[in-house]
Amino acid sequence: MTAGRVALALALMAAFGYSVYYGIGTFRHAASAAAPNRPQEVTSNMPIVGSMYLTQKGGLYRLQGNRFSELAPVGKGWTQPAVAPDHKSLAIVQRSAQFSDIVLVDLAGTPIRRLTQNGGRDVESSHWAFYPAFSPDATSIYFSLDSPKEGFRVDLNVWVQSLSNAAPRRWTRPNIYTGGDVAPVPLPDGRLIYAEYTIDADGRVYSQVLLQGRPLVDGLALTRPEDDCGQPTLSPDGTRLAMICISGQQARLAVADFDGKKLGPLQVLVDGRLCSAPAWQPDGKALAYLSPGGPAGRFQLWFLDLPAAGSPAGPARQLTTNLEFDATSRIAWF
Amino acid sequence: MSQSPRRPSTRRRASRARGAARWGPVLLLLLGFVLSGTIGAGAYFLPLVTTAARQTNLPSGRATTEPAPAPPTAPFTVLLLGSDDDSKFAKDRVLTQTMILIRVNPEVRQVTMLSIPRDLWVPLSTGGSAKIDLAYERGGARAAIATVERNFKVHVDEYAWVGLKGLIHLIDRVGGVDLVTTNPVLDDFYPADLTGGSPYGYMRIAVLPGPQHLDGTHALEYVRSRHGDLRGDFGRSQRQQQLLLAIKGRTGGLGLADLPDLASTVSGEFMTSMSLDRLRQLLPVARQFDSGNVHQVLLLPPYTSSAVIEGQDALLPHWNLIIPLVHQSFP
Repeated sequence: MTAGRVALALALMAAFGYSVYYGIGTFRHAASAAAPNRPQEVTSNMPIVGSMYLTQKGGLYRLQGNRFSELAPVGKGWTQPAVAPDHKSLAIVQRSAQFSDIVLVDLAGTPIRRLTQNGGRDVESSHWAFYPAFSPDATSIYFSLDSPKEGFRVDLNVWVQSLSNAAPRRWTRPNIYTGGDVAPVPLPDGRLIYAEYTIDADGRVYSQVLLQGRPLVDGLALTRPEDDCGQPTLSPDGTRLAMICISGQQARLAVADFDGKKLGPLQVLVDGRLCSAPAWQPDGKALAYLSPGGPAGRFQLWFLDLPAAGSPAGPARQLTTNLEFDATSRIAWF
Repeated sequence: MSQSPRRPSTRRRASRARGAARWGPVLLLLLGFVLSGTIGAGAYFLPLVTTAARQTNLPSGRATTEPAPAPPTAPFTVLLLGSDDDSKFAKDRVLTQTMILIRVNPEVRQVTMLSIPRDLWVPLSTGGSAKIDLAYERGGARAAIATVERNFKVHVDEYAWVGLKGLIHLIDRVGGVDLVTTNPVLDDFYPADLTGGSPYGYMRIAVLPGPQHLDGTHALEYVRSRHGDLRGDFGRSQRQQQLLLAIKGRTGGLGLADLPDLASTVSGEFMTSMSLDRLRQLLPVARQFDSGNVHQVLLLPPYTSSAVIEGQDALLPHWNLIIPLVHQSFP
């Protein structure tokens, strides 16, 4: 055997040894933490009615029928889309490393106008804005903003910004050092539903859904502290409210009748698992939400037909696999 | 010239010699590939073996060849320690901002987690009195354990220490965690010590509330932030316990064969007194209990009260209340 052949054999052996090393590592890593797909690479298991906007890792995606389209790629910082009442634009959060803004975009995801300018030169002048929601008359946008803030106290307050460029108005006074008020839902008569966080004297943290008639007055509690409900979402006809209520480390998707003043009993539709971001089908007959759907634990899109009054909910259907939707982002569906 | 015929035995020897000459290099080549493959596999499992040897003094050969020992049935106590381990501190001279005493009772499948406030003013095992997070800085894990044992009148069977980066890498390695963040966690003065800038710099963070999937960096933000919480350090302690349960939920499916990758993931960021055999024992135990069987304890007032001692904001322990509480779960 020539020296050249020996060298070649040794090189092949070394390559084989490294392949074994690399192969074991890759196999074990892939088995435990496979990267999620991008939504446009998959279709949902069932066509949906209308158009749905969701976000994954800062990317904005539209689901129509059972096909996803990518409107903004991963890493753009988009989250929490809200559709305008005329269904011609979206208000959406653009999140940067240390601040976030509310931006109006068209239905293709192209920015139209930036409503806030929250990127300051320092910590004090930078702000977070989240949870945009159009007023039903489309004249203004409600959102949560960490202003006013002072020292270590940074809590979200609900503000309203007129789309005609009038000065923004503060709507709520949060409980201090709780994180504040989130998820505003403006009503046609000018009142506001939102979720307020409280930390009580025993150190217990909970969220309540409140109804507020005028700016900066105390809200009326629609849910009990022990139910720990948040993420209120009003049905298209305004008569029912969907919410996520927390119990320990699990969540419940619940709906309740809303007569304009108070909520009826909670009807729990999904229980004993993590779920988030309830969204009404445009005809109000079904709900979509996000929940883990597989061993990787990432949030997938689920669909649930609403049961008839007094009937138990049927099984929910998982529409996607191996995606990773942003579970703190509302789903816009129209 | 006619050739004289060879004797049969001579022919066989010649044939064997030709066979050996033909097959010898092939066998050698095969042996070489087997050897290189074994070395490759060995290199992959090396972190497991070295971790085991370093942390446990086990003979390395026992790492993967013996069947897993039977899961423990007797209750045991683990002290979990967490530290800022960035460039503000010399290696192994860190404070332990997180100290959680964990009691596991495998027989009844119950777990108790007691968070020890880092500002608790106690006599240290190394002498003098100070905040309890200083014990590790003064004398490492041994001093931290001894300080906890003396003050809380408990016996600590094992300890585990993890640094910030180790926690991030661990969570990312298991694919992130699913949990319910209790409320918006906003902090304008979150330490920017892991981003490569000044270890004393600050950055803004916002972790939104509700069920979600968090990667290592954002999970750390959720459990490390304390400035915007009405409960201060207590709120952070509660979130840390919550994260522990979420990690447990993600690692429940792991087995022995995952340990090499995990070991290399947290290499240098994780230390423990637990032997490899002990870890192998505990993996099935971790799968046995669910979060419903976990009792979470915080030493809120009246168990502690705020005070300023030697110019430092501290917490005074009220041992007459704390010891009976602790002994309910840590006999």
